[in-house]
Amino acid sequence: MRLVAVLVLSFLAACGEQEPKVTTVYEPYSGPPAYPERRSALPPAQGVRAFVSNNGSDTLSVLDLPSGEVLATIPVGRDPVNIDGPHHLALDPAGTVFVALSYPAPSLSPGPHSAHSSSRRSGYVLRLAPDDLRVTGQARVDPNPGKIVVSEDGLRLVVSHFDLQLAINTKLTPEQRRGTLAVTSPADFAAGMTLDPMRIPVCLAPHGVSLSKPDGARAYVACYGEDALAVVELTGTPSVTLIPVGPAPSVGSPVYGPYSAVLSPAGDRVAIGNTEGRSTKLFDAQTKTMLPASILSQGAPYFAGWSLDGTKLYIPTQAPDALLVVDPTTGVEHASVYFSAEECRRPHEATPDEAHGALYVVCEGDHLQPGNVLVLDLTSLQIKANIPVGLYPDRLVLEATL
Amino acid sequence: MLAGAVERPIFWGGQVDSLLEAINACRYYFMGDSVPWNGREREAQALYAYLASLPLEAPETQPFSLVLSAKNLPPGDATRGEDIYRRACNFCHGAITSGEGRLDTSTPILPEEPATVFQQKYKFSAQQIRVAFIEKVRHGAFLGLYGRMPPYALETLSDDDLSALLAYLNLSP
Ligand code: HEC
Repeated sequence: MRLVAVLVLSFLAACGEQEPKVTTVYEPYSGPPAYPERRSALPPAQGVRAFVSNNGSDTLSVLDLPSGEVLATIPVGRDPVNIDGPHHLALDPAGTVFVALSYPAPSLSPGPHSAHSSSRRSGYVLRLAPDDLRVTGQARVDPNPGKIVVSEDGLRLVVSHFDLQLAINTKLTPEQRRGTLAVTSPADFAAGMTLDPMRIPVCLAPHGVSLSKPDGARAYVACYGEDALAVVELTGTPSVTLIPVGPAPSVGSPVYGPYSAVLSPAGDRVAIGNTEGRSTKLFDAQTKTMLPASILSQGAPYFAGWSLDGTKLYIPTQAPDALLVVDPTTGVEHASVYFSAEECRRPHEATPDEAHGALYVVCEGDHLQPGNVLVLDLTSLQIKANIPVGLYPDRLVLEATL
Repeated sequence: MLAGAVERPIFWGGQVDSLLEAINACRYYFMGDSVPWNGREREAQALYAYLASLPLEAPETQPFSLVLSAKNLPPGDATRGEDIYRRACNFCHGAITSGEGRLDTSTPILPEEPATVFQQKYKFSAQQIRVAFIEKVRHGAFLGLYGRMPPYALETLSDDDLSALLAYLNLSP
């Protein structure tokens, strides 16, 4: 459709020699709808659709699980050149995808000049439409968003900020060094608008977050930098209570290093993965106390997954790269698999899918070559599929679950 | 370069997969406009009309190869460099040394203004200054740099062209 232009030549009567002033007046565009949606809709899955954030390659992988077919690989981010670091994602009950962008510090120092730049870029959260992952809104958060979660009822969205640089900046007061939780509602996002969510200072380098069910009135936050679990009440005036994850916590140079906090399906316990202390601790949500059992592992435990009945924890560990199946009450290990480098380097998260009898393990890889998602048989733990995804995958969410 | 943009499935070498998002990236990074268009605005419609009116002769996808790490380049031909400067840089930076015709005073006069900053503030050697120019041309306002200058991909400006340009700017290897 061609555009119709009307040229209006207006000569200034008084000064004949002057250049004629040319004004172009465009008629309102009347062609086919401008900016037609050219992305194709995401194909449906035979099993369950899963989304994986590849934070080193600026993409989301959309998988059909447990078969392991890659349905789509979609670019995400706001910056067309730099890595945006899509780091963790969450779904609301309608299947809307929320992805946190955590801009890495320029590490390669690509030239002499950029080496002098020490700018810290705000993180962002993008809201992506369920049908084709187009951007339908954004929120600006603090630098280095760590983990993003949406409450079971879909009404609350919380982002932690894993800001190690801030946590160790001795020029700041202890108060200022605290990383925040950004709290908003998925419903507040709107196209063409940038949300500025409420921030709650929580602790040094908060990372893993889980929300109480169903409405996320309370957040459980793994405070990596001060060896504690933060219990944050989000309704009314927010309040933060820090509970040490072990008998000898250390503020500033963690001994335990709680990195993940995963709530059980019943909402009664939180599994805390301590990457420095190489232990998994359990927190009783009712009494707000740490349970005595400590599940020790040879490797550093990352994001664990719970069985639906709460009797099993699937714990991925790094160095050695393994998956442990543990009884969270007794600490007894039921089973373990150790991975070869081809199978899984740096397992980051384990997600049981009981409906399909499968267990999904996100493998970061070495961050230089693409990572992968392993599909294991939930009972035998045999590898059923090994799905290549993008660089440095760090989170997998299943469409049906939260 | 813009011909066929309305038909293109990807932009920026695949980092962006919608025309509207590509336009919003330009508006944000190069024009300082932080409120993205939703496509229904008057200007957005007018721009689409213009792009749709261009002859559809360009290929559907355009390669866009960014140079991620800036390295020094061999010497080039200053005469050819003058022509390249006129076509690639003059519109914004104006004439070299005088800045005559430049966009505004925040667009530095080449090569003196940046070279002086590189030398005095960062204590760069002559060779580092040359590489910093290469870095700026290749990365624009991205990859750890700031500002609002666009990056030049290899398809837009070859390494040969850039060598010639540096010779014209009197930045010897
Ligand atoms: C679209 C306008 C535009 C074009 C075309 C352009 N520049 Fe720039 N350039 C700018 C602006 C604006 C700045 C200052 C802000 C910034 O650093 O991005 C700048 C800054 C620079 C700097 C200084 C960087 C610093 O860190 O101080 C150099 C060197 C430079 N340009 C070189 C070039 C060369 C060589 C070309 C041609 C290949 C070119 N520019 C083309 C707009 C442009």
